[in-house]
Amino acid sequence: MSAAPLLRADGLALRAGERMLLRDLDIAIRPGELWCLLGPNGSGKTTLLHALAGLAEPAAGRVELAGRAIAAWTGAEAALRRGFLPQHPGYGFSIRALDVALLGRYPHRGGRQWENAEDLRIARDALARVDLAAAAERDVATLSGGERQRAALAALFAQDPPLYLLDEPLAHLDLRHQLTIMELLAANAQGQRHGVLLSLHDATLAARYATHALVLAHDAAPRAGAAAEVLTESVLSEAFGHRVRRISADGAVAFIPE
Amino acid sequence: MVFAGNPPSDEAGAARRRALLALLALGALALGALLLALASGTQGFSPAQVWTAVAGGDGGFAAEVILRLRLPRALAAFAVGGLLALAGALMQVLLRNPLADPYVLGVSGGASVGALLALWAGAGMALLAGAAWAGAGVAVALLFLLARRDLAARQASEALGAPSRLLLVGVMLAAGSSALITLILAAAPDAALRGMLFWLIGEFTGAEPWLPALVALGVALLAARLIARELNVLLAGDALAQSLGVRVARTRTLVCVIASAATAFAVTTAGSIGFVGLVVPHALRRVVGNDQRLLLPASALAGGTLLVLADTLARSLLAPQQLPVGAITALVGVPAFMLLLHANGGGRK
Repeated sequence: MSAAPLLRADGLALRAGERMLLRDLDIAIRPGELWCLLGPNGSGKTTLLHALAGLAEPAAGRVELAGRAIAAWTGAEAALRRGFLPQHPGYGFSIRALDVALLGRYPHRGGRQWENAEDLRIARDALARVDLAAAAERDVATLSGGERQRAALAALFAQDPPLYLLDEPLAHLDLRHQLTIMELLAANAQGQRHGVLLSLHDATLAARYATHALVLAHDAAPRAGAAAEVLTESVLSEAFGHRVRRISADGAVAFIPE
Repeated sequence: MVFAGNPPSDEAGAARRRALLALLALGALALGALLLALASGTQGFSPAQVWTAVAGGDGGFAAEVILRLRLPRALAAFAVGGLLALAGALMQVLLRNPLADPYVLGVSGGASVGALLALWAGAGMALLAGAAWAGAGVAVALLFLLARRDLAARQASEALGAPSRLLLVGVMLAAGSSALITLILAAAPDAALRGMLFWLIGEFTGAEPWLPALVALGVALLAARLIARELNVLLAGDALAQSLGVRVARTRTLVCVIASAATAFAVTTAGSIGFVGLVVPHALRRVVGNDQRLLLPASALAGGTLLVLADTLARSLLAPQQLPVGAITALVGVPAFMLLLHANGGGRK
């Protein structure tokens, strides 16, 4: 499985003000891979996602999207190759779930002022994929937190880029909704056409779904690689500054704080 | 806006048709308001007389009053109302806040300072307009200077929180102008005070240059049309908009330019008339939804209509005495706004 990487970062260094968040990060995300990004608060997960999405320039290093420096793509070209779901998406005013899904069609519309029948079909299909077909006409403000997050995910599905970058898509969701979102993302990666990188706080969920993992720490070098090699007691304990134990039962793996 | 009845294949066309229909309806309302403004006043005219005058037939005295006095005033009111409502709708998108209005950027404060200084000096109409323009220009220049870091931010992460800082800069500019206005009012001779007060509240006299304001409204609408799609995406947040390919900084700057120019044209034409820019987009959003491709032109039409009606009221309520139209819009606007807030629990369904 050595398809050309959807995204690769070489010698990446990130800075928040004067503080160095991380340095010398090399990763390559290929189709079929689901990367989980873990790390303590303030370790630079959001900054890293912004840099990988091309929304912020890294302090050093290079980010390549589909084999080309990410800044060399225009905004619309980049949007056809990677999608980004920010933390806590909000819409300012009332907006229908269908219109949220339609946001994902913006880069596909070119100069068209209005969406066409195909845009609408794709947006409705995306809502159906996240089980929100019946809520298409509802104001997202009236949806539950889990439904809102799924509507945001529908926009990403409607955008349909090969690479998905998601900033804490599971935040504030209950267990069932967390699993629903992870199942959707995992199914997407298993199609072998898409790659996914998401940040989250639950190492157990990460171990269950991730093919690869990236762990950031305050005082140690970032660790990136196959999930089984990175999601270990020692790496997680060091990253979170607290001893973490790995428990395995009936083929399932759980990480619990000691 | 539920259209579950439409088959999905026709849904895209239905949305456009609905937008067109809404604009046609608002256009018809605007036309009706203009005709009413031409017909009513100290001297009332029949619809037939209005039609004869407007169509160019010789209507004698009626035509004289309608074409020379009422038409310019009604057109000025329409243009100013349209500009204010459009600027208000744009500011509400820019700041992602339904309570923003065209004056939050401090443009009207600057214009007021300039106008009052001119009135103090006993300047004539031309100079008054020039001074108001200079004041508005200084305020806009200060705004862009102070907020340039936010407007020019190349990256979403740099611009996070930009709307609120922009708002703060505008509020401070407005507060500064307000202090200057108070100083001028306190120090000005009594003879100039009445004119100053009326300018501050906003009024029409029939002598306004309606053509520049109307042209400005047309240009602002065209410019707004160019970025309406982007504004819809921008409402979902800077980071998401930028990741979808919207040039966030450029769009934000354009919105600021269009909104401040529209406000400056409105304020220098008729003083700082309140509530049109706040209430009209807010109310329309409940009727036509929050799609900027429809909301922006709809706001312009409805704002123009509202101000034409308010001005007709202002000159007929205590006729022959004229009331400042700004007092009417505030009197109508405050309860209307309270009602809106009450009806939808703070701007959301």
